Amino acid sequence: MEPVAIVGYAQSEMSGHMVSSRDEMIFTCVKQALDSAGIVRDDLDTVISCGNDFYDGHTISQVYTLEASGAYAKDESKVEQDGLHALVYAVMRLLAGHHQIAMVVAYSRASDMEPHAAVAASLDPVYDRQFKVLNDTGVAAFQARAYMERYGLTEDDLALVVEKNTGNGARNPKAKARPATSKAEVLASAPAFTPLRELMVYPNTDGICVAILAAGDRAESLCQKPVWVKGLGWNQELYYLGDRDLTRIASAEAAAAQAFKAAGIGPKDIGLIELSELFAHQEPMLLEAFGFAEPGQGRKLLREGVTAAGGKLPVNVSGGALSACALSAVGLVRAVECARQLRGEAELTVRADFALAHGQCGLAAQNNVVAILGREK
Amino acid sequence: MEEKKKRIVTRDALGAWDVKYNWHFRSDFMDRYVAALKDKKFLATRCHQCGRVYSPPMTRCGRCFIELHEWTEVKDRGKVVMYTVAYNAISGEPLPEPKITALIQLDGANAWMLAPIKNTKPEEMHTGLRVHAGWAEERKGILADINGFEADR
Repeated sequence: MEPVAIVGYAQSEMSGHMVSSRDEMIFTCVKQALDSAGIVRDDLDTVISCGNDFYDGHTISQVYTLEASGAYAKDESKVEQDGLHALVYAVMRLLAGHHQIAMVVAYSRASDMEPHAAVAASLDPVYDRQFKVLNDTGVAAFQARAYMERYGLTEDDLALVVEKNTGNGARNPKAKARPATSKAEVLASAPAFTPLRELMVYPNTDGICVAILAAGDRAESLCQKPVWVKGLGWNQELYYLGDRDLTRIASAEAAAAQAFKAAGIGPKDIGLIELSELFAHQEPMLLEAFGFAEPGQGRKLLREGVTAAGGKLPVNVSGGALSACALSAVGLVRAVECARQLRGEAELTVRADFALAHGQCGLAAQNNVVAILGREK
Repeated sequence: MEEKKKRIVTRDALGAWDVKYNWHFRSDFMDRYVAALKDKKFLATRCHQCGRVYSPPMTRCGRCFIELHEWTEVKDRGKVVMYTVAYNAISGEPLPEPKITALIQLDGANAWMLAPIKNTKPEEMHTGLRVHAGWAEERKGILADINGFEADR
């Protein structure tokens, strides 16, 4: 099977309130992505959209966005999970051998809607929605408390994650939804759903990310620095909250194991990590799930400076989901940020041969997806 | 950075979902469960393969991928496995009064149930707290017969 590479990408500014229309946002970014790959619309074989009808307020919303996406009269399909799941789908389509160039278009706009209310609609309608009190932050709060109590984490541990990631994000011209935020500011922010405070939760964000992928020789002829997809993994846990071990993210463990196996490498080979840590406690949890720390020890990586931008294993050099988090796009942004690093284009450059990008969807990271990217074919 | 402009409403288009849903569930399961609530009893289903006891009752075991037929009764009291104090509404707006929601393991059950905690202060909450069901005065054999749970005192 021919390997697949990312050969072009673009993302909008990820801000709290975008002035442009949805259509304009998609059109502009898709044009930029095509330019970055040095191709035109006619070169595209397949387009994978990633959005969410609930966020868009539009049933089968790609019927409306496909023109702006350049998908008119093309092979087109949609993923309602995360943009990184859409990348997995695009890779599958290329590996199937019928297409040579695929484009992934992932976006959402929090300022068009009430993002937490939209995600709350994923709760079970029979038993869980009747109380009308929980949204995604509330469910993540159960997970945060379960994990923090089990391993003795404090609010400080969570606040430090926000301080590190937003500090990095301040140097990323795209991550504009939350400015650099100190530990003290996080701890002084209002409680949202205990133990989570407002500033430990992803910021409401508008934005789009587009990636262009090509297979084998086509990737090399198109692009001087293709970023190769070395391994992919994805997995999911039970839905029912009363039936999950909230002290660990088992589906992230399985997703990473699958991706590492496919890539033929292990955690020690990774030089850079980009996580979709929608809630601050998920950063150490995910690092443990991926095998970078023993259970309960993920916070030490941060306290010891390992995961700082200049550390041995930089995590979220781009600012992560706590700096900007356009739902549906966020995981694809992680892959694109890894690609920018591997190509030496990022503002804060990290030396790495392999990078790990992560996406999630579902309540309390029920479903996780991992991509391992590398510079060598 | 893009400048934030003041929004002026000039025309409305329907944005909220105005579709009414009538979700169906296994009425044989639900009828049996809610009928027992009238007598202040919690019924549960048990997986005959892994032994897990589900209350509220599940029609199948997600782990074993089998249909559940075995019924059992669990207590109307148990312990708080996990909880959160909500200061925000679902939309993210602040609530006038904080609300407590918990995952409760009823005595005799394995899986937990989600329920509001009433007549209990946020500072009284901790994992492991013993709680009991707060029943509606006049019960009709419906889900709303459970007002919530409250701390044992």
